[in-house]
Amino acid sequence: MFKKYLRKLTPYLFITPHLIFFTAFLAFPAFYGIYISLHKWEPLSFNKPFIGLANYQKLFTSGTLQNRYFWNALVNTLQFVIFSVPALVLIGLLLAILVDSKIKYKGLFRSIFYTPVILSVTSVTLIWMWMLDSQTGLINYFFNQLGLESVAWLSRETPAWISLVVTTVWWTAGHNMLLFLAGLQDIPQHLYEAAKIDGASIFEQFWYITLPSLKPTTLFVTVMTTVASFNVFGQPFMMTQGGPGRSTQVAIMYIQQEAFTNYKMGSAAAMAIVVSLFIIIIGIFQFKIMSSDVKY
Amino acid sequence: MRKRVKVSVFLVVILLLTTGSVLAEEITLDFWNGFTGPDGTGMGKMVEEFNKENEGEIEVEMQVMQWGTYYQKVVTALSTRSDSSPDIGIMHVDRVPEFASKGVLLDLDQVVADLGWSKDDFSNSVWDAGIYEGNRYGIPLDVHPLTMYINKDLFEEAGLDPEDPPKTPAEFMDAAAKMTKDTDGDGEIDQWGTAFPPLWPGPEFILPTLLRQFGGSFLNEDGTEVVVDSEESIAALEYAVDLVHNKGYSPTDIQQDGEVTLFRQGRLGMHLNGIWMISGFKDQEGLNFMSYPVPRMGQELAIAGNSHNFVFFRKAGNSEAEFEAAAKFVKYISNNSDKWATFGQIPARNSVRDTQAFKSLEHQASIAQEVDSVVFPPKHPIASSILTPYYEAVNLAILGQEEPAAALKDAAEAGQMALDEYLQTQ
Repeated sequence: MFKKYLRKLTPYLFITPHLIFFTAFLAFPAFYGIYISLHKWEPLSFNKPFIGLANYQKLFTSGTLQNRYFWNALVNTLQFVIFSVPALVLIGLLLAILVDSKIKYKGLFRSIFYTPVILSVTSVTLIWMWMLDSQTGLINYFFNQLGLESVAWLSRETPAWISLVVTTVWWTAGHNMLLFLAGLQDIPQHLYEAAKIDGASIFEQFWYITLPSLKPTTLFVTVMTTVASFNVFGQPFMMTQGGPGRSTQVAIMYIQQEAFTNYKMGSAAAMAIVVSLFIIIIGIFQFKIMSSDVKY
Repeated sequence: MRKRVKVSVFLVVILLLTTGSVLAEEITLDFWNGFTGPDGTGMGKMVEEFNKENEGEIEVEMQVMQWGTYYQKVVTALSTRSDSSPDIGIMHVDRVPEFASKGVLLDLDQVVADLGWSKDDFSNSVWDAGIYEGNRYGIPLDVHPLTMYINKDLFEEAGLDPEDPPKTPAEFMDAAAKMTKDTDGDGEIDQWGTAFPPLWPGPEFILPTLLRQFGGSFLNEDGTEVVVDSEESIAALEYAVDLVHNKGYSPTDIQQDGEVTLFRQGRLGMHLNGIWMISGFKDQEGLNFMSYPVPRMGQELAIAGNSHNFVFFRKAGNSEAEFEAAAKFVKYISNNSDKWATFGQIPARNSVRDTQAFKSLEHQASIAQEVDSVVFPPKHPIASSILTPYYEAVNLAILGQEEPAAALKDAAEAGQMALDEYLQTQ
């Protein structure tokens, strides 16, 4: 009797450690965030009155500061997602195929491509800021050597976006490479052997075997990269400070400003909830399109 | 078994020691600040000396963190109203109204009276800056103004006297013009007279300096209207834009700290940045530089700056004895702040600025000549929310992406929206 009971309990015991951390660091803060967003929440004020949906209303009423800056920041974030996600997924896949093929020094290349991932955002942005500097940067030096005009990489809108995306790709593509590499190594070799016997070219093999087999990995990588790109903060915060003006200010930057410069925690929490709704909707959308025949 | 005896003896000794100190009623004060550079090392030494002098009575425990996270941590600690929140803190003088208006700072009028300090002991503006709505909440430790760093070699090359730096608008323009040139003959300017960067410290220090020099201000007298789109303010911004884009005496599109790199490389004649850069520039090999007060570029001399102030935080169990201990500590540090100056700042107290020790600090003493012209950001609980749109307008105008007048009009509107929202809830 007791044994049977224990056996039933076992799976729950296995998930308990994770459940504790999940509750403490994810579920609780998320619900607490919703609670805060319904209040006028200023950290140093004793009174934190309930104000219903007023914080949300401000976001959707034109003429308020929040309305003016939040949607600008959200559109900027969407732009970043649209520019960076395809690049991160494709380059991650290409690198994985490269280091999975029969080249020399495979291990060395794998390490080189992965190394940037372990750097902190501060180091990465500092390195790129020095290279991208308008007057003294390495990149403009090469441009000048090639007879090209210097570019103000971080203070014009278009070059600033390019710089942010390139920096992000350099920094995090290695992570996607690792995931794709694991996916590639899971594909059974006999599929390729059979295809070769049937006379399939390299590209046909890639198209009909590699890509379909990688579908679950690709779905996972795309969704995770999208979520990560939505949460972009460090790169624009350090490199452009949201400039010129507010043209590269992303959602998390504005939320951080509202919370820690203006000390309007309630309003900031409301914005965070709206952003996460966007992420959820886009995530569902991606799953719908890509997972029609994915089996786990 | 033997080991166990040893351990328990050890524990008993520890117990006796700790209760012993409790009996002596040593007061422990938590002192938080953001002095992460050499200034923190200096402050740490002063705290150590203070603790040695007051052994058994007062123990100050200093915690240092980045300024950026410091304010967030202070806010978090104070919001819980717990015992773990700090007793003493350092606060930039422009942040004092924000915290004072929330009632988390202690009124220091009595401390100042007990110490026998008055306005005459401090440089003018800094003394008044720590007062909010009639009460004193901040005791100034130092003043850190915008500073003009000059490259002596470039001055001499251009036929200028590095011992006699520009002081008037005409002299400043003339020097800037003479040092802007193409040194390698490729047809492009690669050495500049000065630099007005569109990012820090441009919008936060350089433009506010110009704004005040041209006679403008951020808020009207009674603090109900944002006036950053006034004629004076537009004139100040147009002056900067003209210097960058039409005269070309400053590089365009400077990135964060790009002008610092240029100055370090010896390609910038007059560099405007905070006084805190001195020690970094001293470490730069082959950089022959000197520090001077920022010259007059408009009608009257004014130099934007800030000041580190001591504040006492309100806590649940604030006792009289703790308050007195904190006051003793502040007096000790203030009296010895000439030591502090060696780490880059100008002491707020006149008597300390007059000491031989301070006067022997070539750079600091030179900058301190104009300490009475230092002006501070507007005194308002939501100053940062009001000023952020102004900083963006300056950024866009100096980049040449918006006209000064239009950008400032937007900034005044956005700032006014933030101010109105605040005034409604008062």
